[in-house]
Amino acid sequence: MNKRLGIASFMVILFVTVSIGVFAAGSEEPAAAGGTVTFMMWGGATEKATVEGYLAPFVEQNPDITVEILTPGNYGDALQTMVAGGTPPDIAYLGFPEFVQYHREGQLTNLQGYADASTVFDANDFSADHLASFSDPGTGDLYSVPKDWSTYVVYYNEDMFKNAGLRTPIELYDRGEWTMDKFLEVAEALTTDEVHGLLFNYGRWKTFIPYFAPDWIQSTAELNVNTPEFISAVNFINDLNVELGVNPTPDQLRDISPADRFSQQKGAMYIIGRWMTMRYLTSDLPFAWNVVPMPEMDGKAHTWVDMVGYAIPLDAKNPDAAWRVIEYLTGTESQSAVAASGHAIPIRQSVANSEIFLGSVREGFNNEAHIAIEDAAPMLVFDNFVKIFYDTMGGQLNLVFTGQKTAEEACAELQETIDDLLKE
Amino acid sequence: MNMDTRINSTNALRGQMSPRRKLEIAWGFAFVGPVILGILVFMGFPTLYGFFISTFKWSIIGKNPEFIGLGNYLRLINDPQFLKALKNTTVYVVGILLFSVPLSLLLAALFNRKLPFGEILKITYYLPVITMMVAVSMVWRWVLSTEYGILNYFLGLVGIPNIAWLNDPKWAMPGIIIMSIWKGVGFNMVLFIAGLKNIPAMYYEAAEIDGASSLRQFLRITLPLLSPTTLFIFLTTMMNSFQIFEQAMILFSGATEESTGAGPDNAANTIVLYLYNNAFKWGSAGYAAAQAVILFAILIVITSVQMKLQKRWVHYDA
Amino acid sequence: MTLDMSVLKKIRPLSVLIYIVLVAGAVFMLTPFLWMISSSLKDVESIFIFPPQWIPKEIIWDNYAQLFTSSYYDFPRYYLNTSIVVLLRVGGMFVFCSMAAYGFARLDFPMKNVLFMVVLATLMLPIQVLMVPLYFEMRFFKWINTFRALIIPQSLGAFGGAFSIFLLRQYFMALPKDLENAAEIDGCSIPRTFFSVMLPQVRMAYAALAIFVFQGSWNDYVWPLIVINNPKKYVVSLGIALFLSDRAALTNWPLLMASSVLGLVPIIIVFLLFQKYFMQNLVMSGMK
Repeated sequence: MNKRLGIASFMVILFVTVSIGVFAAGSEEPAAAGGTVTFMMWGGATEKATVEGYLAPFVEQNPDITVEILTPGNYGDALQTMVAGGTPPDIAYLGFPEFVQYHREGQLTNLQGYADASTVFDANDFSADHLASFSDPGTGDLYSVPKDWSTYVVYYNEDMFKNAGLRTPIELYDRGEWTMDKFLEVAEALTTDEVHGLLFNYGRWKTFIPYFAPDWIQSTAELNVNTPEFISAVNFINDLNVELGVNPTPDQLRDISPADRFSQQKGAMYIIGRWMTMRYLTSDLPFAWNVVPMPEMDGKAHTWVDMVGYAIPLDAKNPDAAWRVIEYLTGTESQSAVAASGHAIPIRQSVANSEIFLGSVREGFNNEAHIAIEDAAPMLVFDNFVKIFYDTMGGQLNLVFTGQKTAEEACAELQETIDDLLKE
Repeated sequence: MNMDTRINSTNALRGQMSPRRKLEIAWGFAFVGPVILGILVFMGFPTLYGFFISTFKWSIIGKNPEFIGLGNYLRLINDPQFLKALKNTTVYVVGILLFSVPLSLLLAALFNRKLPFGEILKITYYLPVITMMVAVSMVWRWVLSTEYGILNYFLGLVGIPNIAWLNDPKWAMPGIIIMSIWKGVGFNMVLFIAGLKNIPAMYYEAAEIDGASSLRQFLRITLPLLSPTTLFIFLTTMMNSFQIFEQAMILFSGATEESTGAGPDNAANTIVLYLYNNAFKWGSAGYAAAQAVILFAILIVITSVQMKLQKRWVHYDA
Repeated sequence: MTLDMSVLKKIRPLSVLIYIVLVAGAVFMLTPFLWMISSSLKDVESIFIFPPQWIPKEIIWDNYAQLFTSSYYDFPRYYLNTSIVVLLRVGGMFVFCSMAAYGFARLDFPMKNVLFMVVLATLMLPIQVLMVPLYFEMRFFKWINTFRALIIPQSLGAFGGAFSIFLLRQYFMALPKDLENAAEIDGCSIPRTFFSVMLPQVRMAYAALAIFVFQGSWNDYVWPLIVINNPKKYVVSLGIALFLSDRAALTNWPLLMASSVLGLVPIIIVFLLFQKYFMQNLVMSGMK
């Protein structure tokens, strides 16, 4: 009898040990202490510090809310596993293509009620296009608030132009001479053994496509990449290196990134979005630099619109407090800080179209370049977007840029793969 | 011991148990219970559940899985990317078996004698084995860099032009294999050294008297007597190599817009990497589970070959 | 003098050649480590001086300081988290795997051989195969983003635990039966015999296995990658991989290399202190 007792007590001890292990090891965050809002974002150390700056006044005014910023690696995968695991953050960055996929799976909170009741949120101060990108196409209800947006512009090293005795891009632009031919001409003129006239990240091939094939996206279920127009766009990008030698090879850009090349004066012009201003402002470039819109070709300039919104996942623990944070971050006070930090174009039109944005960064900085192309709008999000756009197209086109395939071969193959993926 | 067990068990069945015996049985279960429970919960159940998931179209964030029977498997055999991942993985496995295993045998043979600072040299070869794959893969991003990498620098010394290890589909897998040889050669080397130590010296002494050359001794004595070790190393290396994942993911991630880590033209895509991307990047859990089942089948085949062959070796020994 | 000559005679040219090859190989093995350490102390510009400067002109400790002080790369926290996981996994191995090993080695109960086969069979079932269903299971247990997911399965013998059980079982089987008989005569119960008589006998095996489990847990990447996505719960390997998602930092080689050094230092220290055990483990694993 005694022995049995021994076994029983042994099992009890075992069970207790395991449970203690389980709970000590687990030690989860104390369950939603009033107003803790978890806020998940991407970007590096600089961007995190900048966003903490935006939030500082809010945290001071709202002592009942604590905002906890999370910056996981592999943002897309992490958000997906968190949402799938039922432990999503209260607020998450969502690009407009990803938004469509999350919304379709019914994973986002309807924000229309919050928006209607809000005194801070003002739909009239947003561009209708921007709001529509984050709304349900059927009901028109808002499921995410656009946080800011970016277009691609040309950054340039002013000293290099002056030293070479060339007109700067902004001068050319003002004279109405900022054409694709001129752009390539100055890029060639500035290319030396050490310096590339242009820095263009091949991964951002999307920037040049509209110049040649503006209609490559026919509908959410039809993409045309095996067309002479699309192929010539790909060849154009490829020839920046192969024919003209103004852009580094993908290999060179892998070793030293275009952003670093520009700041180390290894490149004269760099095509990228507003967020790079944030980085260059913090690192204090030792030369004069400015930005100018993308050049015109056949009388028309094109750019690419990146837009990101704040979403509240459906299973978020603290949606009410999350909305207050979002409302603040997309309000005029915070958006003025977005203008000043060089992070993006403010989403509030009253801020973007006023001196707050146009006079930001420093005297004489060409902020207007970012909003110069008036019909710039986000692309239509087609089916299976992430897999097609980033993984398949990015990968296949890179083969052209590394000289493994011709544009014709790549596009023909791509069309087949895309057609399969669209059906998935 | 084994005999004892059997007799005791039959006694137990007949119900002629002493109290001490009953206690032993109870304690036996109590001692192995937690581990058996853990294995059933964390390995047994997921194995079955994996089969189950693989018959569904199951989005990881979606709410309504749809039963499609063998649909995922049909999709797999028609998916060029999966076939490519399968091919790449096989190339990797063959590469490791062809280069890494013989190299570690060679090193073991060279180390199987007294050398000045032999221990320190051995440790040097073993050092990469114990290190974190993520961390060393980061360094190998530099080692394999086209213009600034040390590997191309060494190759340049013997007149080989720069190779784009990380950007050229032809060289992506060789790059990973070279890195994995560096990482893993010490592991098998130590196993081979142990195997060599087990060969009785008298064989060599006899051969020495007969005047056999070292090469002849190696071929006639070392290789045959070492064959159980070699077989074991071959099969475990094969099993481990089929699971390759981290190297590819770290070496090829983040450089361009695409972040699948599958390398140029998916040349570095492997079964596990594709499985991971399908499940956690593209959210197709059902499809990924079907891939896992295929991988599982491959591993089972290798294991059963191992068991069969090992039995035969035991036979020869006897 | 004559003695020296005889030694020289023994050294055949072939041996010298072999030795040179081995040393050259060793240099190749060490090169990536050397570059890692040297780059972690440089500034960004001097990374691309070619051929590499092995000793930085100016040693910059700030790279490490950044990893320890920035709120983005929170390495003190990753170290703490990893330590918790590693310690509890080693502890779990001590308790559960050794109990099971003893049960299989020295106690007799029905279905013992079948159960032992089940344990051994897990060796051919790597975590990679079970990624997806296990993720769902962790989700069901609400263990996503908790250390429970990192600790409990491995402590209870899943994913590699079978190896510990197998080795410990060999050790227990090699112990003389008299030990237990004597304990039984003294009136010791079975658990008492196990804890106070048998366990102390296999201390050496424990040391070797502890290092083995330490190495596996410290270096683990795949499993944390799947079940941990909150940076507050990150382990060191995930902290290093964080660089992959920050393209600006990915080309900040000094910082990246400093983080890699941080990932390697603990395991290399443990290795150099106990390298005999490492090799011994491996040899034991080869004998199964």
